[in-house]
Amino acid sequence: MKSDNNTLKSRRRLVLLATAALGAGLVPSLGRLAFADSDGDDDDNHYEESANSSFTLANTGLNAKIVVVGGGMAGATLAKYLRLWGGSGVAVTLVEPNASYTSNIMSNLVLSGSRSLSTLGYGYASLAAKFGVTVKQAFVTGIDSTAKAVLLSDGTRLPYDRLVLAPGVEFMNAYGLTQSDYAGTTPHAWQAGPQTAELARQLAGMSNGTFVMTIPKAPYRCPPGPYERACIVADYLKTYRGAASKVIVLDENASIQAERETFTTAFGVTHAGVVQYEAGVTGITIDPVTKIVSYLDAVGTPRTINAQVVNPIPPHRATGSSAGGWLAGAGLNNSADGRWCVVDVLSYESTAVPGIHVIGDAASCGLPKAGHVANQEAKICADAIVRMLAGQQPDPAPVANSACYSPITASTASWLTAVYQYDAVNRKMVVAANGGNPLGAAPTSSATVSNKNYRNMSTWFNTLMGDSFA
Amino acid sequence: MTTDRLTRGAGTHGLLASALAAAFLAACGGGGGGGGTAAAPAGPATVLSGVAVDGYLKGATVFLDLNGNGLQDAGEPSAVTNDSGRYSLSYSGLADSVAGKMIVVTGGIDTDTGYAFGGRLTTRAEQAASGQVVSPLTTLVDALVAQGLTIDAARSRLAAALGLSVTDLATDPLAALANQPAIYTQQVALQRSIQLLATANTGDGDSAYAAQRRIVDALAVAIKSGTGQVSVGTLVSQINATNTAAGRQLADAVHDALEAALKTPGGHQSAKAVLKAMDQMRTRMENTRNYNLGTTASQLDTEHGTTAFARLTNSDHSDDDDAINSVTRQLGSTTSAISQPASTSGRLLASNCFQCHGTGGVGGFESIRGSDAAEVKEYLGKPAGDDIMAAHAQGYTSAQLDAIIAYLKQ
Repeated sequence: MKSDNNTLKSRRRLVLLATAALGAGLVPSLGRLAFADSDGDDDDNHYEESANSSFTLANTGLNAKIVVVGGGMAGATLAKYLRLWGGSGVAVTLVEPNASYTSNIMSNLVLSGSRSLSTLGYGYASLAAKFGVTVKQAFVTGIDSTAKAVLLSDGTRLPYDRLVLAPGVEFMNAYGLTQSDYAGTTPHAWQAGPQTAELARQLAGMSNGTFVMTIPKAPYRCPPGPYERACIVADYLKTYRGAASKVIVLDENASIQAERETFTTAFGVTHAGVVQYEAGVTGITIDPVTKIVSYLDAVGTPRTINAQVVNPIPPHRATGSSAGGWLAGAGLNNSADGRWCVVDVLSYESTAVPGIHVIGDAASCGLPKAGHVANQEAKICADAIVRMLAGQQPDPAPVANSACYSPITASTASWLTAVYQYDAVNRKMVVAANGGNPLGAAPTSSATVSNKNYRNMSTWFNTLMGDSFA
Repeated sequence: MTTDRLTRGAGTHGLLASALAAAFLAACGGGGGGGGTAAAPAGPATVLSGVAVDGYLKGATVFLDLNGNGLQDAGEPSAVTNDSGRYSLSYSGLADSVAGKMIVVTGGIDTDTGYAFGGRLTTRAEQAASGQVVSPLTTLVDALVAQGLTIDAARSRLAAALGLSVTDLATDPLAALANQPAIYTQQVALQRSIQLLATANTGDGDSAYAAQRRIVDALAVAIKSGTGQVSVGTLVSQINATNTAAGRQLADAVHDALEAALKTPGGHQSAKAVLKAMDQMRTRMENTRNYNLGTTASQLDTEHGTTAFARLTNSDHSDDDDAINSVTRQLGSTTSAISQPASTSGRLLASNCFQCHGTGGVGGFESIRGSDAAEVKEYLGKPAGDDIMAAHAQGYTSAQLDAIIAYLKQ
């Protein structure tokens, strides 16, 4: 922790004292006994078996070279399941610029001091040791789809039989801001890391001030995420940074994009008088120095806010998809706006370039852009690749799912889940309910916001991360 | 190790004619087979096999007590259990039938806790039997026979006292954990009280095993004179020995906490962690000679900055789940190898479960592998907004759920 973060540090300790059922004091006397909970979080009481299990690889007789680009939720899961289901003859190389992944999920809790960034780090040692994935720390400079090879920053040329891209997103310059503004005075913190720490630092310095956050038009990463952030920040500010604190949410969408009832209640009741939500906002401009935010409200009236802290979540696009980018260079960003890669949802193979699959937030596949969903996209893609290597067709009726918990206060949470069935007529994934029926189906959100959901959130998160990285 | 030396030396001090000694050596030291090396065996080479289980006991010594003195003597066939508690006791050329001779198990590691096993278990050999269980319950049957009951009467009386069937007594309790957890919870609860009371009642110059036999015999006296089913704690309280109050508390606490743990999502894994915590309290009492479960639990909680030990021993079980979760988190780690099911049918569908139930369905909120897989159907009738699993389950067709269940059951 930085020395200027003392407030957060001491407050987090209080939170831990209040919530930890069993302190760390049990560790030394038990000596050689291993920990069930390997990720070091403090509020998970559930058994996590996957981190302690070893798995045998399927015996398929297949031989192939697969290169996976990007070690986030999608890429890590894909690499693991390709080995698990494809067997030891399927050589998987995971290319990732960073030594470890920082989870976006739970990173809103870093803003309120409930978690530290270090508890959100996931390395690739387990994928390498338990599943035999080759991990290469480098970034992609180009793709030669004719010769089937990936070019890396260290000069390596990696040949592939099939290539899977899970590059995630990059953030567009918007609202008068550039990348250096995001890295400095007005962090988006929509990719967990240094910007998350910077935004937490700015929040800790507030006093009865106004926090403004903006939400881009869908699709964006994690549909409920911005609304969850508004709740977490509101809960923190009103408790610790003055009762007159305000959170103003400027949403470019016409309405709340996920868990509408839950967040309407959270804004209007739970955090009443603190959160001010405005939908259908246009023309946002942000001055990174004065922190003055200007916009047109839903009926076109110009408005101005003097903010203490501004948190723009700018529109994003697939990493490498802007002009001159490596993804664009391979012609993969074939959505109408050029921001996403359109894929066949049976295999996640690009509709633009055969032999190349795109999964996770960079793909346009009709599913929400979220870590839990990316995990399942990776499994569908892995299964399809294994079948295709064996000369078969992909599964003709894949099912995907989404589930997530959103903290509403420092001790309560909601949940949201959906199951997606394949619509063979329109060749897309559609929400299903009532026995797999798409008719009139919508994602289900929790009837209540509760402490129990908050506890279950840790089990969900830890298990999801274990399924993806361990 | 002592047992190895005794085993290997068996032939040189044998009770048998020297002509048979070579055959005996091969059978005892060679680890099976061996029939071809016998020059002139008086009878066919034969094997008694089975499982030694408190939790499964690995590396435990198993011997056939031919002379009935309760000790492992030179010339008595012996073996060591494997990692899953299995033993294979080779013998050949014995003049008498082995039927009715005592199979004795000592030492080894209890694989449920990873702690050394300090108990002594017995059962009566059946001629050339395979799959014979040696457990705290078979030990009690033997002790009832020593009190003058026939073996059938002994089995009936013990089964009635514990609310089990006679077949249950000879069943591997871990194999029956899902359907009949009471075999396991009662046997490990009784075993812990027996060991605690044996220590509490060991005199100068007494051996630990002799003390254990006295406690087991005293327990058999209590069971023999009783009628109907009583709790394990009640049985222990009727033992004629000192510190039975502590023994009773421990038996009740172990039994109740394990019963509760087996009902949590962690299942057997949580039960193992709870048993570790119980064994830590038991050994603390034995080491300090302070036979008070409550103060021991408080001591351990103070040392660890926890409340879980006290809550696990509290007779009010209303917040057991939290304590069990806490203990499981801290003590419940074992590495297990998960193999890929043979049929890949339903695999991609089932992988939708793994984000919340772990890769392969082995953890997370709840293990859903094996017989637990079908539980998903219980959620079909629940209101979707009340339970995330209900909301989720209702997004699948019934054919898809069947395929998922079939895959997870492999």
